[in-house]
Amino acid sequence: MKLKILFFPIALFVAFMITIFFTKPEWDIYQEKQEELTKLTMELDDLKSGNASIENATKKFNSLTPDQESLVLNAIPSEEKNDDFLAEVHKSAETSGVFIISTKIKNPQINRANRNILPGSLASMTPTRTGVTAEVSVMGSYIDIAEFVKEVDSHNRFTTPRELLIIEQQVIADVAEEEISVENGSMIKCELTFDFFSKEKNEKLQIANLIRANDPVIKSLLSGQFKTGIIEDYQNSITREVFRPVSAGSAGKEDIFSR
Amino acid sequence: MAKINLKSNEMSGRRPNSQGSNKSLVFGIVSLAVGLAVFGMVRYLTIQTENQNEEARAEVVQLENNMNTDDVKKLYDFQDRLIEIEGLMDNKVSQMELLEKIERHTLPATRFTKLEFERQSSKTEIDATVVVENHVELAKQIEAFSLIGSEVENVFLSSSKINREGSGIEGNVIFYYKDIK
Repeated sequence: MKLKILFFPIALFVAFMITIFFTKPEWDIYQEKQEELTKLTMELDDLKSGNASIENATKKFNSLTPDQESLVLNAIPSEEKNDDFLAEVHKSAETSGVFIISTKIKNPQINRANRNILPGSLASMTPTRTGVTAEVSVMGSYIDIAEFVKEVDSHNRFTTPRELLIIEQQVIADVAEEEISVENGSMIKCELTFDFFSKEKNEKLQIANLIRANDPVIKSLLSGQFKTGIIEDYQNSITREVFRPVSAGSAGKEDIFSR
Repeated sequence: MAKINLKSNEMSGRRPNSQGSNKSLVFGIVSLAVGLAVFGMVRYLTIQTENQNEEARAEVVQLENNMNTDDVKKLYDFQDRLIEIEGLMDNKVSQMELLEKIERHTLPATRFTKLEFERQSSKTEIDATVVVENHVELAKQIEAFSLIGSEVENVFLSSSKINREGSGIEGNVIFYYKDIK
């Protein structure tokens, strides 16, 4: 009988213990799952709207003219393409009427080797921009040199100036005398130092991983910011025309030391 | 002779005790049942939410994988380059613009023998060597450089000497051109 009377407090105690040791932790888990569900639902909504944005961006991208596409791909190409860079510098010199004395490209490989990237990080998934410093020395009149600086400033290959030295030359080399005609003013030498860039294409790019890693580029695409306006700004303010890369033509020579 | 208790429980007055113990049993079972039911309900909700999470996660993965096409990769690469160009354009200081500004602020009697631009973190150092007729003309030229605009700061004469040809003063003027965003 006494046991029966004691059953209620014991049962109440057991119910209390169940609440403390089982229901409460389970409730915490439930709340965590609810939070996760809210996050996932939001992520899903974002992805659905992002998917629509990406579809729109793809349509816009496909409607770009080949020149517009080349303009961007030439500005920061996927390879260093020093040959094209040299050809573009030569073209600028020709247009402006200066004589190229020398060109020097500083340690293009070192920049790439120095990259210290942790595996699994965002940087390991996405390519990094590589900058190469170039030094070009030219000779001509000041007017021509100013024109050359303007040409280099407006290369299709994006360049950022570092240093410029324009200096009056007292002695003119024989070669220069023959090849350059200076009408007004003295002979001027110009040393131009600037950076140009390339960015490797990552063929193994995993868009899903980039979304998970909160990559800013994919985020901008998901939020519907396909930056086509930059092409126009770039074309208007910097570049006059799309650079056509050089081709080697027909190569092959038996006596490689013959003229 | 031994006494035999022939009275029933009801008669002996023990009935309330028995009722109390029954109530205690009932209430005990009810509280246990409520405790277990609440736990069961919460557990059920957790499982249901976990299932919903699983479904949502699978849908997210599915959507992300749908985006992993060559077209999107090409688009990503293009957008990446556009963003790079935008950043570089924002930080680029046109040397031609600088040259044009200096040309516009050069006095007719001034002749440059050296002009050097050196890019620093957020400004460009301009080091110019000019030949002028006399110190007054040099002072005028320094003043003219300081009038280029608000971007120009610290225009100062670093040195001056008689020109090698003896036909005037050669002055070395240094000033800074700030990036304006």
